[in-house]
Amino acid sequence: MASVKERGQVLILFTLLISTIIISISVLHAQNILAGMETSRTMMMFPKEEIRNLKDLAGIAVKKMPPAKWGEYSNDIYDQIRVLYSQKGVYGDLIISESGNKVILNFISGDVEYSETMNCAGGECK
Amino acid sequence: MVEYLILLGILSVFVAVAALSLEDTLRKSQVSKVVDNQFSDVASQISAQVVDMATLYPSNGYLRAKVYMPSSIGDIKYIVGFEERGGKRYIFISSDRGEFRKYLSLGAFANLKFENISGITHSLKEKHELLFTSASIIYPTAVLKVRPSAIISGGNVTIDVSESYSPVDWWWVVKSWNGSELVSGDMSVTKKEVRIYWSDDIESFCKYNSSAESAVCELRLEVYDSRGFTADDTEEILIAKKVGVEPELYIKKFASPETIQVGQPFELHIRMVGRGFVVEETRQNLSVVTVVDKSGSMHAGNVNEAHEERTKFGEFMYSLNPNVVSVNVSVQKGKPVYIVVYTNQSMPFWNYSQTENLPSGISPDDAFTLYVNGQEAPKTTTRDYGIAPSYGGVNFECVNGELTQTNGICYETTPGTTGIWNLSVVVSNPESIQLNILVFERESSRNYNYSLLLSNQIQYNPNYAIHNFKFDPGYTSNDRYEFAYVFIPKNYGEKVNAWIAWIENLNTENLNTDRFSFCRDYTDVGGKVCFVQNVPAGQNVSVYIVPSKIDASYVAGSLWMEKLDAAKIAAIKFIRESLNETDYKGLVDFSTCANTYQVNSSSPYLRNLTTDSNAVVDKIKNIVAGGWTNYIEALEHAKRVLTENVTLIKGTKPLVILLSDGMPTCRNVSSGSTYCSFGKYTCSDTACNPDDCGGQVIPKADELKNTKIGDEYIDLCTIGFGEKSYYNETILRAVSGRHTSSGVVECYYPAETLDQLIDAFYSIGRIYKIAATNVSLVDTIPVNLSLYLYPEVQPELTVNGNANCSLNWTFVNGSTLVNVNCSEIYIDDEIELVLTLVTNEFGGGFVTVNEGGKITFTDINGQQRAIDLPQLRLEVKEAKGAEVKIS
Repeated sequence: MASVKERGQVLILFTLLISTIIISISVLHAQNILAGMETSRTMMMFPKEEIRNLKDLAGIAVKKMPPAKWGEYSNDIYDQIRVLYSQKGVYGDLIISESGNKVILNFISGDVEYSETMNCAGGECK
Repeated sequence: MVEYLILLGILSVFVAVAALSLEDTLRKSQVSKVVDNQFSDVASQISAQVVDMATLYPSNGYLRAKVYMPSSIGDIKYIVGFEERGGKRYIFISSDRGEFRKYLSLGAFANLKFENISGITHSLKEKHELLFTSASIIYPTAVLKVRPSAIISGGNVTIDVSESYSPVDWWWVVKSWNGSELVSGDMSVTKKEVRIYWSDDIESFCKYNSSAESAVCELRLEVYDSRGFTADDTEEILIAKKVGVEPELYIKKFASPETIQVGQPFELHIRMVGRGFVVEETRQNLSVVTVVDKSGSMHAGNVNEAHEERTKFGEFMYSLNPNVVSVNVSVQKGKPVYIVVYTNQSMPFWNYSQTENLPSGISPDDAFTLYVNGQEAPKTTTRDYGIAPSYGGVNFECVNGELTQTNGICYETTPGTTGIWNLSVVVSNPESIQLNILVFERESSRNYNYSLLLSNQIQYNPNYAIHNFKFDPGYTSNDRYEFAYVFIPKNYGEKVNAWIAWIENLNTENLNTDRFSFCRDYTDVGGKVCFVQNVPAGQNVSVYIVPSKIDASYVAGSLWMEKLDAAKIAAIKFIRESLNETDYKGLVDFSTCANTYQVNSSSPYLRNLTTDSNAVVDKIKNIVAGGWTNYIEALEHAKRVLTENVTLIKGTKPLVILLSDGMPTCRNVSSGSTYCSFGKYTCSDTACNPDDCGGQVIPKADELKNTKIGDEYIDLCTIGFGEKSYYNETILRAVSGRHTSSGVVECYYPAETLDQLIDAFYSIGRIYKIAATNVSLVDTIPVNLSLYLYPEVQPELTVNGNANCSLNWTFVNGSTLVNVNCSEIYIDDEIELVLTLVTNEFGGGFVTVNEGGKITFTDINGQQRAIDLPQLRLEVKEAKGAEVKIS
C-alpha cells in the first residue's frame, strides 16, 4: 500500500508542475493578445486637433482684436474659450497680453498638458 | 525496495530533465514572444506620441503626455528610454536583467525636429511621462524715429520708440550726441516730446557745418529688457541756429532685430526722410487761390440741421462711479409699501435749462432713480391728493411715479413675502442735495392709513464727469462759433444725464440764461445730443455728465462744430502756417454764384492777390454760407484771379485749392436765372451726376490746369470735406491735377474731421517743399538670405507724406534685386521699404546684409548725387532647439 501511495504523490507532483506551466503560459498568452492596445489608445486619445484648434483661435483672436479696449476683449475671449473647451471635458484657455503682442495658450486633458507662449506682434502669431 | 529506489531515481532524473525542457519549451519561448510584442507596443506608443509632439511643436512652451505601460511582462521588469546610436535616434526597451532588448528607430524627423532627446524610466515606476520643451528666444528690437528730422535750436521733437519691442518688460533711454540722457521711459510710454538746444559740444560731437551754422547729430536709443537682453538704434537729427539750411535726403538702414537666429525671420528697413526747413530760399514762391464752398450744407442753423451737417473736432471718454444710497427696510407680506424719494431743495440744472432743449415731460423728478432689491422701480404709481401720505408738511401725491408737490419720485408695491428689502437710489444732478427716503406701509390695499416704516435723510453728493473744451479765437467772425454739438451714443447716453454750459455762467444768478442746455435724446441720431449756438471763442465750455443709473460705468462721446467754421480754421491755418510772407494769396468762395474777394487795396494792377495774409484771413472769417454748389463758376473765378496780372506774379507757382462738401449742382433749365454761370452749365436736375455735370466741370478744370503763368502751369488740388457720400469724390479726383516732372498727377485729399481737414491743407502746403527728385534706390538681397514666406509675405513700401514712389523686385541668379523709385520726396516725407528676410545658414555667427546697395537722386540744386547704402552685419545665434525627455 505504501508504494501505491508514493506513486500517487509523484503523479500529484507532476500534475502540479504541468498545471503551473499551463497557467503561466495562459497568462502570457493573455498578455500577448493585449499587445498593441497602448499604441492604438494613444493614437486615438491624443488631443492633437483640440490643441491645433486652440492655436488657430489664437491667430483669429489677434487678427480681430479691436484697436482699443483690448483688455476687455482679452477677458471675453478668455472666458469664451474656457467655456468652449469645458464642454469637451478638457481645460483650455487663451490669454492675450501686451496689447496683443503676446498670446499664452493652455490646454489640459487627462493625459496631456500643453502650454505655449506665442509672439503675435504685428497681428501674425508665430 | 532496491527496485523501487532505482525506479524512483530514474523517474526523478526524468522529471528533472523534463522540467528543465518543459520550462524552456513551454514557458521561455512563449515569454520571449510576448515580451517582444509588448515591447513593440510600448515603443510604438512612445513613438506615436513623439510624432504627435513633433506635429504640434509649440515653439515656445511645453507639452507633457502620460505614457502607459505594464509594470511587468511575464514577471519581467524592464526599462524604457531614448538612445542615440550611429547618428540615429531610437527608443530602446530592455528587461532589467538584459536578456530581452528591443530598439525602435524614430526616423529622420527626430534628428531634424529635436535638438536633444533623452531620458529613461523603469516599468515599476508609478507614472511615466514624455515632456517636450522648446524655447524660442525673441531678442529685443530698438527702433528710434525722430520727428521732425530737422529743427531750429530750441525746437521740439517727438521721440518715437513705438516700433521697439521685447516679449517681456522693457525700458528705453535716448542719449544725446555726447552720451548724456535726453529722455527715457518704459514700454507703456513710447512717444515723448523733448526740446533740443544748440550746445557748445555740438561742434566736436556732431557733423558740423560752419557756413550753415548747423550740425547733424546722432541720437542713440538703448532698449533693455527684464531678461537682460539689450538692443540699440541710432537716428540723425539736423540742428540749426537758423533756417538757411538746404533740404536733403536722410537715409537710414537698419535690421529688426539685430540679433537673429537661423530660420527666424527678421525685417530689413530702408528709410528715406526729406530733411530740412521750409523757407523762402528753399522753394519757389506760390500764388495760391483758396476756393471755399459756402453752400447751404456747410451751415446748420438749428439742431436738426446740425444732426446732418457737422464736423467732428474731438472725442472724450470717462469712467463713472455713481454715488448709490442704500437703505434696508423690513416689509410684511400683503401690506402695500409706498416709497418716496425726494428733496425739498431746488435743482437749477433741471429747473433753468434752456427751454428749447428740454423735451416735454422732462422735469427734475427724472433725476431720481429707485432700485428695489436691485431692480429699477418703474415710474407708474399714481396717488391722488386725498389718499396720499404726508410727512413734514409735504403731501406726497404722485402722478406716473413723479411727486407733484416737490422734486422726487414715488413707488408703491405689495410684498409677496415678509422680509428685508434693500432700497438703492441714484440722483442725477450735478449739485449736492439733501435727499429724503421715506417708506410708508398700509394695512391692506383698501386701507389708506399709512404708517411710517423708514425715514432717512442724507446729504447726497453726486459723482460725475466734466469735459471742458474751448474754441480757438481768431478764425471766425466776432470770434463766435456757430454751434457746439456734443454727441453721446445711446448705449452710454441712456445711463446718464448731461448738460452743456459756459463755465462762467455757472453761478446761481446766471443759471437760467439761454446758454445753459440740457442734453436731450434724439432717436434719429441714436443718442443724446448737447447743442448750443453762438459759442464765444476762448471760453471754456463744459459738458456735465451725471450718472442716472446704478450700472453707469463709462461714458464716451464726440464733439462737433459747424462745417464752415471748420473750413475757416483749416484755411486760415494754411495761410498763416504753410504759406510764406512772400507768397501771393487770394480768396474765392462759391455757392449758387462764386465770389472773388478784393484783398489788395494797395495796387490797382493786382487787386485779387496779396502777400498780406491778414487781408485774406479777415475775408475768410466773414464768409457766410447759403446756396447751391456751382463748381464751374468757382473754377472760372479762380482762373481769373491768377490771370488778373500774370506779369506781376510771373515766376511764382500758381495753385488753386478747392474745398467742397457737396455734389456740384447745376442750373435746372426750369429754375430760372438765379443760378450764376459762365457759359453753358445746365442739366436736367439740380444735383449733378458725374456724367450729367462732370462733362462740363472737368473741361473747365482742364482749362484752368492748362493755363500758364509765366513758365508754370496752374496746379489744382481738391479737398472732399465731410462724409464721402455727401460729395462727388469721382469729380473731385478727376478735376485735380498737379504738374510734376513725370506728368500731371492727382492732387485730391479727403477729410472728414477738423484735424483731417487741417492735415489736408498742410499736405498741400508740403507738396512745394521738395527735398530731392528722381530718387532711385537699388539694393540686392544676397543668396544666403531669402524673402521670408514669399510670395505670401511681400516687400512693403510705405509712404508717409506726398512722395510718389513705386516698388518692384526681380530675382537674378538666386539674388533678389529691389528697386524703389520716387519722382519727388518732399520735406518731412517718410518713405520706408521693409523686407522680411530669413537666413538658413549659421555663417560663422554673422551675416552681412546687402552689399552694394545705392541711392541716386537729384538734390534741390539740380546736382546728381549717389549715396552707398550701408552694409549691416547681423549677429546670428544658434537656435535653441526642442527637447524631448521621458521619465
